[in-house]
Amino acid sequence: MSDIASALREPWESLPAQRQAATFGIWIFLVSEMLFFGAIFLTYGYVRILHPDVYAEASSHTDIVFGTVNTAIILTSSLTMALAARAADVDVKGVVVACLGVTALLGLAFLVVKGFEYRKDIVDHLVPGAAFALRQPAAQIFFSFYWAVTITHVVHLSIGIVLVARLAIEIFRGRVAMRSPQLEVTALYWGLVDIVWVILYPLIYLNGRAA
Amino acid sequence: MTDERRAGLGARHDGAPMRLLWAVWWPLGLVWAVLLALVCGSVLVAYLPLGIWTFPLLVAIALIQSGLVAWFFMQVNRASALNRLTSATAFVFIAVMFAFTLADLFNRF
Repeated sequence: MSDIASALREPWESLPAQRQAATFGIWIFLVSEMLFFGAIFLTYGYVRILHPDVYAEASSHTDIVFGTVNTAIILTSSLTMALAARAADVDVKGVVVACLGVTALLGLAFLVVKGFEYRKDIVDHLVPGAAFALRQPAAQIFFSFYWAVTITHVVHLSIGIVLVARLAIEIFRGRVAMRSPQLEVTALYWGLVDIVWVILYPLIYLNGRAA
Repeated sequence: MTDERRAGLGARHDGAPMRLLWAVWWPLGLVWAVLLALVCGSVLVAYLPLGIWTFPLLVAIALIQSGLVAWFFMQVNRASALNRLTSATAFVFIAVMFAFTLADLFNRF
C-alpha cells in the first residue's frame, strides 16, 4: 500500500479533498478557541483599564526569567513543528519523526519550567486567598487571571504534547502515513497554543516593569 | 505517479531530499530568528521609560509575532481561500466583542 493510499480515508476520493476537509475542520475549532481566549484577554483588558496601577504592580511580582525562557522554548517548538510539516512534504520520514520528537520534548521542557515557576509563586503567596501577599484587592483579580489562564494554557499544551508524541510514534511505526492530514492538523493546533502564549507573555510578565 | 498527480503534491525530489529540505527550511529558520529578536525587543520595551506607550507597543509586538507564527508556521500563506477566510472570521468576531465591551466601559464614567 502506497503512502498516499494509506493516508486516504472514506468518504474522500482524493487526498487534497481530505486535506481540505481536515484543515477546514481544525480551523473552525481554532476560531472557536480564539474566541474563547479572546474573551479571557478582554477581561484582562477590562480590569486593567479600571485598575492600571494595581495591574502594573501585581505584574511586576511575576518571574520574568521563567516567562521569557518559556516564550523562547514555545517559539522554538512551533519552529520544529513547522519543520516537521515541511519535511513531510519532502518525504523524509526520519527527519519528520525527529522534529516531532523535539517538539514534544520542548513542550515538556515548557511544562517543567512552568512547574518551577508555580512552585515559586506558591512559596511567594501569590495564590489568591486569605494568605495572599499583595494588599490591593485588584491584585487578587490579576493573579486569578494568571492562574486561570496559565493552567488553561498548560492543559492545551499537554493535549498537544500527547498528540505530537503519538504522531511521532505512529509515523515511526508506519501506522500513520506522513501525507496523512493528521500531521497538518496537529501542527495547526500547536501553532494556536503558541500564539496564545505569545499574547499572554506581555500581559502577564512585561506589564509594569519600567516603574 | 497517477496517485501523486491526483494528490496534487507536485514534482517529487530526485535523490536530493536534504538539499530540498534546506530549501524549504531556511525561510522558517529566518522567521524563528525574527521571532526571538522580537522577544528581546519586547523585554527592552518593557524596561524603557515609555510611559503610556509601553503597553500598546508590547501588544503590537505580540500581534506581529502571532501574525508571523500564523502566516509562516501555521502555513496560512499556503492555505486555501476557504481556510484563510475561516481564520479571518476570528478577528472579526473578537474585534466586535472588544469594540462593544470597551465602548461601554469608556462611556460609563
